[in-house]
Amino acid sequence: MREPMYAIRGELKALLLMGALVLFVRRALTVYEHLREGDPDPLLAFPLTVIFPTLLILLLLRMPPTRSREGALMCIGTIVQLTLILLLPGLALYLALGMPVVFLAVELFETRMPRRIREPLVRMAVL
Amino acid sequence: MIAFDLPVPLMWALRWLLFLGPLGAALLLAAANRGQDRKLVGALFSFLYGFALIFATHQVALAMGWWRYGGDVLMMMGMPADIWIGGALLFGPVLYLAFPSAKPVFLVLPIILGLHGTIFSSLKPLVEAGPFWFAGVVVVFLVAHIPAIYLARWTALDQRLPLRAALLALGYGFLAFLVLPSLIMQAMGGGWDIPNQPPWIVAACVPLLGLCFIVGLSAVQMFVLHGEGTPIPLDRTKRLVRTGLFAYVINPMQLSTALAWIVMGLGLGNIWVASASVMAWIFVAGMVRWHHRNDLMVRFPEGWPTYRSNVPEWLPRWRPWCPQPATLRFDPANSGHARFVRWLDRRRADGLILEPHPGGPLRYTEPHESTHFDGAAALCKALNHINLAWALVGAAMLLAILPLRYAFPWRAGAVPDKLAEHHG
Repeated sequence: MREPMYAIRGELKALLLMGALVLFVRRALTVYEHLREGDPDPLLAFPLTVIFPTLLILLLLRMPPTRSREGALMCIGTIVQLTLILLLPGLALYLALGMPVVFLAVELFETRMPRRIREPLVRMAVL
Repeated sequence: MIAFDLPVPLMWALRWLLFLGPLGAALLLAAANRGQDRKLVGALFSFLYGFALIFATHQVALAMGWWRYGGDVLMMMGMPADIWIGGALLFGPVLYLAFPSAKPVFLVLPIILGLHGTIFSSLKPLVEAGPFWFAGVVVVFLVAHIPAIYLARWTALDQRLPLRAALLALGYGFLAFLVLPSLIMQAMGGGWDIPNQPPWIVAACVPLLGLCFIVGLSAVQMFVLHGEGTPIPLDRTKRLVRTGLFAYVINPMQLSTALAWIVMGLGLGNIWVASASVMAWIFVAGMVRWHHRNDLMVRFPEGWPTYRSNVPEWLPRWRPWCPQPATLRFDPANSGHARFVRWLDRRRADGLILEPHPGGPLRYTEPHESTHFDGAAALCKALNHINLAWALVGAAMLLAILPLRYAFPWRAGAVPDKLAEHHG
């Protein structure tokens, strides 16, 4: 018998991708504004603080289906955390250090959340 | 030596290139090697090892004045984070995946001589070379870059398990106990202000840290000896490991990490470093339990649930859980053997059959395993059957004995079979 595989729903993928790209453009515009004011620091930080998390989001969105449902949920959780890193540059280091919380949240969601709440939510996110 | 001044915009471009170049190359090479899982896992390990050891060696370089970085963007204890990550990518995954069969020494030699040797001192204000900078570059390559590429290579070829487990343990040690506390202190405040801490606190913390490291390193050693794999699930063990400190607690590595962070927090007077131990618990609750359910439970459907129900996750048992007895063969005519066996008997060693074998060496054998331990190593393994305190003594001794036997097999006699297999 074939093992079931789990993937992020296409609609959610599109939403996550759109969010990341909007934030990328916003951060790029911020760099431009700072450059006009003669401050090159955000430009120097741009590859690590903006390009890198955006690339990671793109890679996670292209990941093949996982063998466990938690795998797909962890992938979504990581993308959301990376999106927050793009959204809140002042908190980026704290959010990066708190990455294991994503895995705990998924574990608690899968093991402690009442089934009647959990299942509809998962169906919205995972195929 | 070439000495020239780069214009500032070109210096900015160079800094972008030092991060995005290796990142792009790593992604392209990873895509080109898609499907070659062991190669990619090796590349990932080399990145993690390089990431930890580049930071450690650069801290030494900065402290010695070999060089210093200019600017204040993305600085992490005097080091630009983007150049640090770029270096870990370039001198790890990129070089390995681009030249998988080239010897690491020959791979990096042209870079040391050709690139660093010629333009290193021309990169002001990005980096300013100080006295003995070339010796510093050689140290960084010897400690961080060359071992990283070897780690990738050995992992891809599934060779030299003890050495690659040692490199992984070293990389993890620096990552967990140098890089992570540094990042936490960068975010929350504090620093490595050890000389200004009360001496009695530092004196109390050093042996406690040593104990934590014994627990963690011994767990890695058991994975190599009895599991024939590394602690990282990507290069996982072939067998379920239930011996050594695993007979007392399921997560000795996570336990040792969490305790070490608490001890470091006390030593540094930093509550945030100590509270990283909560992160270890979160990691176990979130990631490790998932791995247990989806990997160990699937691969060992009979052994894992029984082990899980008898051994606690965090708080160790006092006496070991031994589902099947191991055997200690001894020579009754040998006074040393006889004394040790009487001593074990008085302490009611659990799950250990004492078997007289006239004329033979002191030999310890686990059930269903071809590996055996002779002499002092057998003694250490037998100590594991008494209680947690003696198990820690045995673990500490075994951490010294087995690497010495592995390094000098012609002097030390018997090397456990599995180590010998991976020696060549």
